[in-house]
Amino acid sequence: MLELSAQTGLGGLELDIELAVPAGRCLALAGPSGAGKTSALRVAAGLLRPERGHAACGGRVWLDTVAGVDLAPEERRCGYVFQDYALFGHLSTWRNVAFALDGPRAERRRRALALLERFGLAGRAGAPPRELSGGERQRVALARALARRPAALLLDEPLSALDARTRAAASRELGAVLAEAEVPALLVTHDFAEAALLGDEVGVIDAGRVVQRGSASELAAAPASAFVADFTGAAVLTGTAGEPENGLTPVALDGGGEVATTDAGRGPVAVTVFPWEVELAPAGSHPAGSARNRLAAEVLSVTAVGNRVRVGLATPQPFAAELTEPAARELGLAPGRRVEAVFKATATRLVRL
Amino acid sequence: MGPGTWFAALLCLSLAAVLIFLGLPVAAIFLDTSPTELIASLGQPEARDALMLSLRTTAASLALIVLVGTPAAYLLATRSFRGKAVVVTLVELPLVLPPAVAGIALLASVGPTGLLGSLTGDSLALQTAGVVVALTFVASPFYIRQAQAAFAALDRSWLDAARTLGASEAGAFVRVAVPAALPGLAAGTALALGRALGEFGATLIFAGSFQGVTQTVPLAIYARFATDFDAALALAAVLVLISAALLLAVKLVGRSSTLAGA
Repeated sequence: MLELSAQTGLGGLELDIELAVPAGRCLALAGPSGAGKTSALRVAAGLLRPERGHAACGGRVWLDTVAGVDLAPEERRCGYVFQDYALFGHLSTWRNVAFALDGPRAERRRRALALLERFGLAGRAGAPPRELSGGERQRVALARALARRPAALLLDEPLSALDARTRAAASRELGAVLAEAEVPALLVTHDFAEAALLGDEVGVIDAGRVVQRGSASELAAAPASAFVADFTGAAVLTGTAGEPENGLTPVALDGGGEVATTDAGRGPVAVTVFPWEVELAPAGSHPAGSARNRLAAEVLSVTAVGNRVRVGLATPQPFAAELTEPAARELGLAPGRRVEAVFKATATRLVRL
Repeated sequence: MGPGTWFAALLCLSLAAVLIFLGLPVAAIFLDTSPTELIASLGQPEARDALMLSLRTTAASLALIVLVGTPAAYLLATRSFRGKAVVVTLVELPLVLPPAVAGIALLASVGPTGLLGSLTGDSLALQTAGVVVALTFVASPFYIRQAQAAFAALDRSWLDAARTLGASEAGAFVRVAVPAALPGLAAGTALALGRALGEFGATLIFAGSFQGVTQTVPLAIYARFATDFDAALALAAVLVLISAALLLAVKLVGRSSTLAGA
């Protein structure tokens, strides 16, 4: 169990977090850059001393500002994977891993090579880090972090330095390592999808605070705030909720238009809906169907995202829909084209503002 | 003639002018002495004493500079504190100080009648130890500046990584910072070496020019050039050779350390 709490000012940002990660589990802290994610890791590792804070792992107290306990980073046994991996450029790959090991040289070399072997890097042991690919560097950093048999794993954006193609494979491998690890793992990322993939649980962090915590699907399905909804990838429309009628709440949108939602709420609210729940129809058409909500919209952008197409819309509030590529072609979507965005009232979530 | 050709010619001419201006005097030292003369004048005890003294004092002062200057430069590069700009300026001051002023300043501080005269007495002024003090005073800023820049250019996450991998603060310094900054430290050593080996003014004023005690090669050249120009020339030739050899060695150290990981 890794327990961490910290309250400290960080030049314009007030970090205030409290979290616990059981052994064998991975908590992914996701949030935009500047939210204090890396600072949280640094507090855990002993690289940043908070004004007030407490950290303990496996029954051992690492930090207690009240009792005056503050173990040095080397005494905490954290396996820390840095954002750019921080491999020592003046040491070969195996020496990077052996850096973390104690004992006679031959023994350290043998154990470093065994670890590299496990990560499929035995053939790269003598190479300097600058000759490794991004994916190889990431695995060396991981092998090095595990070399000391850490009491906790701390990972700072472990996939962000990789190109899109390498990332998929690296994330599968990292997932396997995390699943195998018997220690608590704390991972931070700016990418919600990455957090959902690698974390057993996701905490969304904004402006130094964890604003919501839960499984990735819980967060996506029931975001506690517009920020979480936006961060999980949902489109957000703001407006004012009116008197419910037949179990439906009407929301008058800022800037014009009205939508209905099955969620209850009054006053200023945000309506969230996932882009893949939104259908597009030619303007003025009247297709039959159960969808309650129809919003006149103008296409702003059409972007391919993998095998899908994300369509940016102005309703006039910014909005988004995701379609398959053939569907987008059939509709002749291009910036400036007028369409109707159609979605069911049951696909929306209401968040009080 | 194309529009770019005259400019390329101008660049080449400028470089040629620089090479002739810098190279001709150095070449003249060797063209003006025959090898036999050179060896003969080195047989003189004055010349041998001066050479040995220069090598001993330069080595001693470089050892001092590297031993004390490296951690000091590391502190300046990795910590911020109130008044740091003032400290850095103080460290760099000897760079712009005329050597004669440095000599006077040393006399006024650690000379027999200086500020700390009651502590140092006659142990430094006009003694070999005084030469080492003078060389260290004028040469150390060259090393510390370069070392500070080399440490500041290090990726700070390497030092953090070293800590999380079990190294103490001192361990991160010895096992990561110094080896990773070695090319910069070597360059700084080369600069300090050149400055120390050629030191003249501060040494003359603070330590004097006594054969075998404080008369380094530059002082010996000065003492000889009016009366025995050939002997002065021979000493100069040796100084050029030693400086070039040491510069080359230091550059090779820097080069090989950057390739160590390969």
